[in-house]
Amino acid sequence: MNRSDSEAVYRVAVLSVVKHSYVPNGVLSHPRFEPVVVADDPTEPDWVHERNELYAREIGVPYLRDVGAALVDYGAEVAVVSSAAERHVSLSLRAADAGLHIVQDKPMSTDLSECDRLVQAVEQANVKFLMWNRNFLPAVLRAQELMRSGEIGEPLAFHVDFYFSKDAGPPKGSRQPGDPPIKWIDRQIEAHADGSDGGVGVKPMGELEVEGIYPLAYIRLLAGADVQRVYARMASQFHQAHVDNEVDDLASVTLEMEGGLLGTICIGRIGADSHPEIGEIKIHVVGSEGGMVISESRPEVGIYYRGQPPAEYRHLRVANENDVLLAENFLRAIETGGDTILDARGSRAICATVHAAIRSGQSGAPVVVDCLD
Amino acid sequence: MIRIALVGCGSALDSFPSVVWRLKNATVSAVVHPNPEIGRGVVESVNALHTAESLEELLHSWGDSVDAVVIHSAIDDHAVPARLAVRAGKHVLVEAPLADSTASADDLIESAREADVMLMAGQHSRFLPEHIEVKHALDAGKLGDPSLLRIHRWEPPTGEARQAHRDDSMFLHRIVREMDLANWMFGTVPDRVYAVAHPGHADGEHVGKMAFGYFQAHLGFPDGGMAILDYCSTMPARSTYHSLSLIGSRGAAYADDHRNIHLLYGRGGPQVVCSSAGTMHLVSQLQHFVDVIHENRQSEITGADARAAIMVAETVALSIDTGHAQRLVDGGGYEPV
Repeated sequence: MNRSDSEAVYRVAVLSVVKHSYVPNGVLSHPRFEPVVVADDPTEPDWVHERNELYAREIGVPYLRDVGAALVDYGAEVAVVSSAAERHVSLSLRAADAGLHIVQDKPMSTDLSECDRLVQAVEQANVKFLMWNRNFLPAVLRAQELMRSGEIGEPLAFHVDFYFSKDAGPPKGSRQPGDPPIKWIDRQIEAHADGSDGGVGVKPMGELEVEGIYPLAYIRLLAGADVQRVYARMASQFHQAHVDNEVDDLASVTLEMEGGLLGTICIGRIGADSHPEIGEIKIHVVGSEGGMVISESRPEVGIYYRGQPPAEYRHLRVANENDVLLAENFLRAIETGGDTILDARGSRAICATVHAAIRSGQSGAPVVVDCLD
Repeated sequence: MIRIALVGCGSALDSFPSVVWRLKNATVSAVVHPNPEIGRGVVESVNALHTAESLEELLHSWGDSVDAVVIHSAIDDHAVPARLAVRAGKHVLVEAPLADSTASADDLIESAREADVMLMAGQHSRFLPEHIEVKHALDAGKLGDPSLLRIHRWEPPTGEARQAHRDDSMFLHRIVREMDLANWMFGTVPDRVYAVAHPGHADGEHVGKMAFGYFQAHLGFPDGGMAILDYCSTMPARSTYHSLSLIGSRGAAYADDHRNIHLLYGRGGPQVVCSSAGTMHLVSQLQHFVDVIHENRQSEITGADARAAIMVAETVALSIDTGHAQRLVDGGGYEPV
């Protein structure tokens, strides 16, 4: 669905927004995307509809409990999917089949075979797919520029620390004898209020599965290579919900990539007391003639004052145009026929890396990543 | 007053003139250096009395003037002079690595036990002020249980590094300090080891199976602990970068050069400037050695600690060589997963 009018505005259907409103908000920050409808399946529970309806009211469009009708009746050209993780592919598949371009929240899926289905559907329908990511943050762009300049020679290894200093319910060890284990979905619903519900879904997901896309997308962008083999360690160190549901809140992964490139990621939801900012997020690149250390949060400004609420961020990112640049990248892909910065195949490669890492963490041995041809 | 003999070569002794005058209850009485001219220069700079070209010569000629020997050579097998000193009844501080293999370390430890002398494994990284603060916070329970240790150590390809890369056994010199730091922070050896490496140098100059300009090791510790350590020798001349972060179950510590940089806007354009780390760590380590001799007590860094670091380093090398993860087996040692 390519438009000839380069100033045309694309009509956006938001398909479920129970997880992150920042994804549709990010798309809609671009002047050439406008919302026309929010929709979800009628079988979803009430809390899902309540959240969707609230968002529809906020952006001033109707809410439909009928995804099929939303895809057909409102002239939508773009679908934004931010549902529970297990439903991502189902919604995106329906959008692709209806000929809509897709922006989807992470992870691509909790099931790698579902990713394969979506790659195939997107390519058959000849629509564009963008996995929401952070690759247009100013520091990441700067890292990419420095890589391209050749300043550090040929790249050898890429390391990303991706620690969110957030809490996720009661701390580990807080469950009293006789207390029932925390239900994952209950915890996620409870977390809506503070926006920390990154792992919404019925199936419990560890931090690696929920957030792993971000550091892996940085490395994929900078290295230009796919991960072929991984070795991982995972643990539940901080939060009772993760312990009770046997998923990681801390993980480290060794990456072996095409061309002999190496790397690691360290990722965790390490608790609010473990860092003065949102978390330590850094990119280290080792080259044949040097190295670079990048703080992903920079540029930022620090603001501190008497009576400051404890939960208020003291360090605020500035000059962050990630949202609008992602949307622009998506728009350009639609209008030029090029690839998005993280398309369906790239997203599938990252998902395969995460799934291999989870298997490695369980087995204690390196695992070969299941790559597409 | 403990009378110390310094044994070194290359640039290993360069720091000592700024260190020895700060020692309490100790003096440097002799210096061993293979180059007599350099040796005499060091003797003068540390106000020592004697110099010799070899430890054998020193012990033969001036052995009665020495109570303890500090071995700080650049890349030779430290166990050879250490064993000689121990058998001469001298207390010994051996900078890491203690030996070039676990077998050699075992032999040295046994020799020290038989001679009833102090054998301290030098590990100046443990005495770096930033590492001391992290360890104090950990030991005080402020950070909870150690969960994820991340260390980057990046160095330029100095002559020493290039020489080390030519000898498989000298791989230890590059990595054993980080292995010891990991063991120290977690209080035990890892139960899993996996490592990978890259030749690193664009010119392809690498000889021997351990000829890596870059490697990374991934360690697993009991109760979900984990560590990732990476090392490169591809930095530009005079450029080093070191970072240690420790995520604990209750808090975290970040000892990162990135946090300690200054900016210089000069004629050559903007530059990053780092404050010198100084020699406090060397003073602290040497003073600890002197104190434990004085007080006739065990060093905080034992031969067993040094042996453990060597064992892990050997396992890292084995993992690189075989491509297999290794797991700790009962009774010590590792086997493929």
